[in-house]
Parts: sequence; C-alpha cells; structure tokens
Amino acid sequence: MKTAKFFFLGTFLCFTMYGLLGLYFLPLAAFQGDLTRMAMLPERLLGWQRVQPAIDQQLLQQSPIAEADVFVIVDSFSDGRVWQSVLTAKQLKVHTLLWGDLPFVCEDAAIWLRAQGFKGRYFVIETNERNLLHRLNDSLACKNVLRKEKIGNADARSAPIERFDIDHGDYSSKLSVGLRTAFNTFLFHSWEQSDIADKVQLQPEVFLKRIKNGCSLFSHRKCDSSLFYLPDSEQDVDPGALQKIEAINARLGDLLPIWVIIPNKATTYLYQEKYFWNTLEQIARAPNLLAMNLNAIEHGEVDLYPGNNTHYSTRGYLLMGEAILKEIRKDGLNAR
Amino acid sequence: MLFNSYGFLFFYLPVVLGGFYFASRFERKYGAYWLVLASLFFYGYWDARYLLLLLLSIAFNFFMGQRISRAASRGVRKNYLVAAIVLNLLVLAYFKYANFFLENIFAGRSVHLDIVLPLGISFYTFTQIAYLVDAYSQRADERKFSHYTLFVTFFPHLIAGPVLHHKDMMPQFARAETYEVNWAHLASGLVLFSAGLAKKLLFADAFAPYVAAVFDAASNDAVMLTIYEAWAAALAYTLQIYFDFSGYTDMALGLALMFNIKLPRNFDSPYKATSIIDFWRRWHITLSTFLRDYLYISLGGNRKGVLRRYINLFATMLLGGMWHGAGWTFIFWGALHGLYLIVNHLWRTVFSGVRQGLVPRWLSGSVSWLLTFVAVVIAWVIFRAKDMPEAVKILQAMFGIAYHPIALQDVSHGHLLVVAELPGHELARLALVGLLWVLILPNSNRLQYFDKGRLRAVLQAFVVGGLLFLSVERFGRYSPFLYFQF
Repeated sequence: MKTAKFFFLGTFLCFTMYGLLGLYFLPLAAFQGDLTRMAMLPERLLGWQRVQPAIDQQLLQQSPIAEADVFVIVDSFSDGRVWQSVLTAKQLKVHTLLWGDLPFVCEDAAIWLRAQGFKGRYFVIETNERNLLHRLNDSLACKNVLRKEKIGNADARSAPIERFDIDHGDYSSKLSVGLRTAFNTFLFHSWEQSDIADKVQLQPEVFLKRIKNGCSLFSHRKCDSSLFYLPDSEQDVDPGALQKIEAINARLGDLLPIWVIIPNKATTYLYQEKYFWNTLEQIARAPNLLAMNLNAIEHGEVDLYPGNNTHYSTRGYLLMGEAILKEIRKDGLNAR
Repeated sequence: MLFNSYGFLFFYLPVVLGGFYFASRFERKYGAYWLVLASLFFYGYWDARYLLLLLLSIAFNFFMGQRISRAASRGVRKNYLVAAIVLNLLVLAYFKYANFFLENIFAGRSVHLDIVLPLGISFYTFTQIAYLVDAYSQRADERKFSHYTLFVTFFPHLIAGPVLHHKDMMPQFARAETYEVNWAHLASGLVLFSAGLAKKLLFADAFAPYVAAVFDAASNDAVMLTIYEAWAAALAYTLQIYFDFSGYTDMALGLALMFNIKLPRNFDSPYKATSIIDFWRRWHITLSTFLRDYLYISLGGNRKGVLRRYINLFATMLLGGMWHGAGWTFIFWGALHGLYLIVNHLWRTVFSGVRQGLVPRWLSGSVSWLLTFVAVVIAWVIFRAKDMPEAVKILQAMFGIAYHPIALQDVSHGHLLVVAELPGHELARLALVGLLWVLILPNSNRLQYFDKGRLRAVLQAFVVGGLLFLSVERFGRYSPFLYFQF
C-alpha cells in the first residue's frame, strides 16, 4: 500500500505538472515561418509585422496544361502560385507542376510535355540555389519522364496572408515543443544581451545572426538579428552548373527554357559576393534574382525574406514575378 | 471530450478525481453527485445539444424501469417493457439508420436527413435496454434517480462502452469503500490507463495512415492493388482496430478503477482465438454477452432445434453487425461472422471426438489459429471498406484473383507499398511488433500495479511515466477512436 501511494502520487503529479507547465508554454509553439518552426523560437520575436500586399485569389488559379502559355516546374517557393499571379494578371495562362510530381527534366521532357497537350513555348524551371546542382545532375541522368496519372494540382490556392498576429498562440503542437521553445527563448535573450558571439546555433539546421542595420531590412520585433538555414552555403554555385544548364536546354527542342534560380536567404543577406547569376544570364534566359534582391534591399525593401522564413515574402514573390514577366516579354509575347 | 486530449489529462481528470474524493469526505452522496455532474460535462463538452437527448433517455428509462418493477402483473410488466424497448430502438433507428433506410428505399433520389449521430448512443441505449430487461426479470430495481444517472453516464464507459449491467454496477456505487481513497486501485488504474493510451497512440494511430492510404486507393477505379498491398492493409487494419478499441477499453477500465469501480473486461487477447466461437468469447465481450443474453436467447437460442438455432445465431450476428453502423458493409460483416459461427458449430457437431489422436495437438492448434485469424482478417476488410465493391477489390487482390503484379524493381528498392506512397518497411516493423504483442503478451486486464518494494515502484513509475510521455508526444494529430462512430 505504501509504495502504491508513492507510485501513484509521484507519477500522476509529475505527469500532471509536466502537462500544466507544457500547456503554459505551448502557445509559444504556434509557428508561422519554417525557420521559427525549425529553430523553435516564438513568432513574437521573429514574426514579420510589415503588412504584405493582398493578392486576388482568382489570379492563383491553375490553367489546364493544354491551354497554358507557360509551363512551370517549381519547388516550395512557387507552390503557392504567388509570383505566377503577376503573369496571370497580364492574361498569361500558367500551368504549375511541383518538382516531385515531375522529379526531373528528363531527356524526353519536351516530347512528354507536348504529349500532355502543352502548346505554349515557355518552360520556366524554378529551383532554389540550394537544390540546383542535384536537380541538374538528376535531370541529366534521367532518360524518360515517369508517367504520372495525375498531371498538375488543380486545387485552388488560398491567397497569401497579409498580416498575422505574432502574439496569437494555440494548443495544437506538442508539449515538448512548447517547453523547448520557452527554453530557446531564454537562450535567445541571453545571447541577445551578450556580446560574445555574432551568431548562435539553437537547433541543428538553423542559426541566428546579428544583422547590421537589421531593422531597416526586417520588421520583426528583434529585427537586429535574423534566422538563417545552416546548409545554405557561403560558397558560390559551382560553375559546372552552367554547362549542365546548357545541356538541359539543348534537350528541350522548340521549348524556350527560362531558368529561375532563387538565391538562398543567406546569400541575399550574408554571402552576397556570388557571381553565378551574372554568368548565368549571359548564357541562358535567366532573370538575375540575386541582383534583383540586392537592388531591392538597397532601395529599402523590408522583409524581402521575412525574419522567420527561408522563403520570399509576398513582396519578394511579386518582384520575382515581375522579373520573370520581363524575361518572357523579351521574346515579344505580350499581354493579351 | 477525448481521453487522448490535453484538456482531459491535465485538467478534467485531476480535477474530477480530486473533487470526487474531496466531496466524498463530507458525504458519499456528494461524491456521487460530483461524478454525475462531471460525467455530464464530459459528454456535453462534445455537443451540449445532445446532453438533453441523453438526459431525456435516462429519465424515460428510469421512469419505465420503475413502472416495470412495480407493475401488478407479468402481462402489464411485459407491455411496459415492450413499449420502452420499442421507443429506445426507434430513437436509435432515427439517429443511426434513418438515412440508410431512406437511401435504400429511394435509391437514385437524393433523399437525405441532416442528422448528426449522437456520441455513444448505441452504448447508452443498449445499457439501458439491458436494465429494462433486468427490471422485467426482477433482477434490478433502482429507486434512486441519481444512482441510475451515474450508472448510465459514468464517464469512463459512456461513449464507447463496455456495455454495462445494472446489477454489476449499482452495488459498487452503493459501497462505502468506493468513496474512500484506495491507493492500490489508483496505482493499478494508472498502469492500465497508460497501457491503453499507449495502445491507442503508439500503435493504432501508427497503423492508421497505411490503412487509409491503401483503402482510399482501392476506391479509385483506376488503381489495382498488389497482393502485398492488400494483405498489408488488411493486417494493418486488423491490428489498428484491436489496439484502438482495446486501448480505449483499457483506458476506461483504468479510469474507472481510479474511482474504485471495476468495469467488466471487454477483451481477452482475441487474436489468440483458435476458433470463431472462441473469438467471440474474447472480442468485445460485453456486446457479445448482451447479444447472447438479450437477443439470441430471447429468439429461442438452441432450445428450438438445430435449424432454428443456426437461424437464431445468424440473425443475432446480422443484427450485431447492424449495431455497428448503418451500411451494407456492416451487415455483410455480421452475416459473414454468422456464417463462420454456423460452420464452426457444424464442424464441432460433426467432428466432435473424431479429431483427437489423429492429428498432433500442436498442429491442430496452429491450423485452427491460422484459419481463425485469416477468417477474422477477411471479415475486417469488409468492415473497414467504404462499400462492398471496395471490399471485393481488396479481397480479390489478397487472394490473387485480380491484382497488380509486384515489379521486381519495387522489391529490390523495398517499395512495396507504392499505392500508399509510404515506407513499406516501417509498416512491416510495426506489424511485427503489433503481432508479437497480441499473440505473446498476456491480455492487459491482467495488468496491475505490483506493490513489492520501492525499487519496483520506481521502475514501474519510469515505465508508466515513459508510456504517458511518449503517448502525449503524439497528441495534436487527428486521432478519433474508431468505436465512437458506433
């Protein structure tokens, strides 16, 4: 009887205390950005506050592949179809497919696309800087496109949010994540108040870095620092990528490929001395997004990449869309 | 309110448990009132509108129970009983079966009533029908409305059973010791609850995505399953439904024990059964017992000849299938189990005494187990499928009648669940552990706290604490209990 009391009270009370403590901190773990989610830091510190432009949801509609002027293969940057809204606003019809649904630009990609009914000319190949090389290598190694039964996701996309409440919390996450977020918040404040290190790594793949003039670049509360993705390389893109891009272009027959390589957030804010985009625009149809980013920052663009995210803000996507539209217009295709 | 929710674990349970023993210190009836209020809150938390239906049902059945108990003659008692049962079944039929009948009567026309099935209606209706029958047989005579309300609404069993008998429960609520802290019961209750929570969250929910992916794919006309995919999904569902429902039952039994109430066991390692008769003595025992006592025996049982016995058996299982839900798959599932039972009884009648000595016992035992297990798995496919064509498609793939051949490259890459786009090796690992659990471990109703020294207490605290922690780490995902819909 004695140990039963000891066992029950010990286990039940410890567990209940753990739960109550976890629930107290759980609202901290309502993440909006991918970097805050990975770093387990609350949005009240790193969530963006500058209101973003509204996008008409009608502009996010997917066009059937057979009617499309532009075929786009994209990663998570473009799955929300925000930058495509710039094209659709100009009456261009866009069909978007994710890397993964069409894993590679294979040798028979052009034949396959035509077989799917695509009659347009523009083939926008979008990838982030981080994944460029492996996608090029996989594509060059690929002979035939995998036949998928379902082409393109016709599901409607919701319009990107214009604002969000950085202090809003919910209870949908795990208790342990709430507790770790609370602990990381404590570490963040300790780091912020110390002068020891310029950057600190709180979780395996994310680091925090102090940013000079950060508050002119970001709108989050602790704007003199931002989160970055650790695997984003300081090195410039391997120049060998240029030959590979040319090799893929040679496969595409009568399609006109437009290469959209999105610089990593770290490249834009920390490792700006990269020349790959300058060379790329000499040899292929490729908007120079690094130059675009740097220019935007120089002209006071706040939250081009929000402090809590590896992806562009809506403003960033719209600038990207303008750059791609400009590239298409070089060829004389005008708005209908 | 769900047992697997933060609100239940960290607010409701500590407050209700503490409040119960605190209130009982002043007077027992305060503890009972507290439990009634807490149970009504537990039910009303889901949808307060259906609380009224529950209270009306309780009031009506209590009133009819009184009438039956006090009626002057057997004939009058019977009239009250029939009227009460008919009304209970009509309410159940309206909420559970109205749309099913309308869809089948007006096939092709969109006739549909906007009805939400109240949680636990099948369980509390059957519990109260059993009470009425017991009152008719003069095995129950409840005079206190508060006690009767507590018997029906006691939150651990209210939503998904076990189906209770008045005569088993009321003496427990009347006992003085029920209202006194019993550390051994609290400790054993916590052990059982943590085991049930782990069954639900670490096993049942882990199988769920595989099952859903393959069954959903099977409903697509363009998709043909491989033999591996079909068997994997069937086996995964067999384990999912066991861990889900028996996990819920363990939690219910554990919670009840914390309040010094012993609920009847509902499972006894059903997948160890070596015959279908044996299976139904081990699976959802309280429902099987209810169907036997109140339906099969009422129909005449085995007292009216062999043919009538099998008809009664078949009808009982058919209605048992229908109890689970309004759909042809449930009816076919019940019918199939009815047929299984008839075959099983015929076999026993024809071969009784013949087998002994001819075949080694271990061999006959193994073959019997395998046949029983496969028969149960086949029936679960029908039970889980959205409709009969989906069930037939999976069964055809399982038995190589119509299937997609497995590509050699898929085997070499370990991509054996292509249709689910989920890692097949993880399911294999999970299924292996699940099978070992259900086939080797003793049934969880034998779980209890071992009060033998501090070291064992600490070890048990670590195991129970670890299970609770791991389970709570799975919260936040969509995780309904399968038996809530029944």
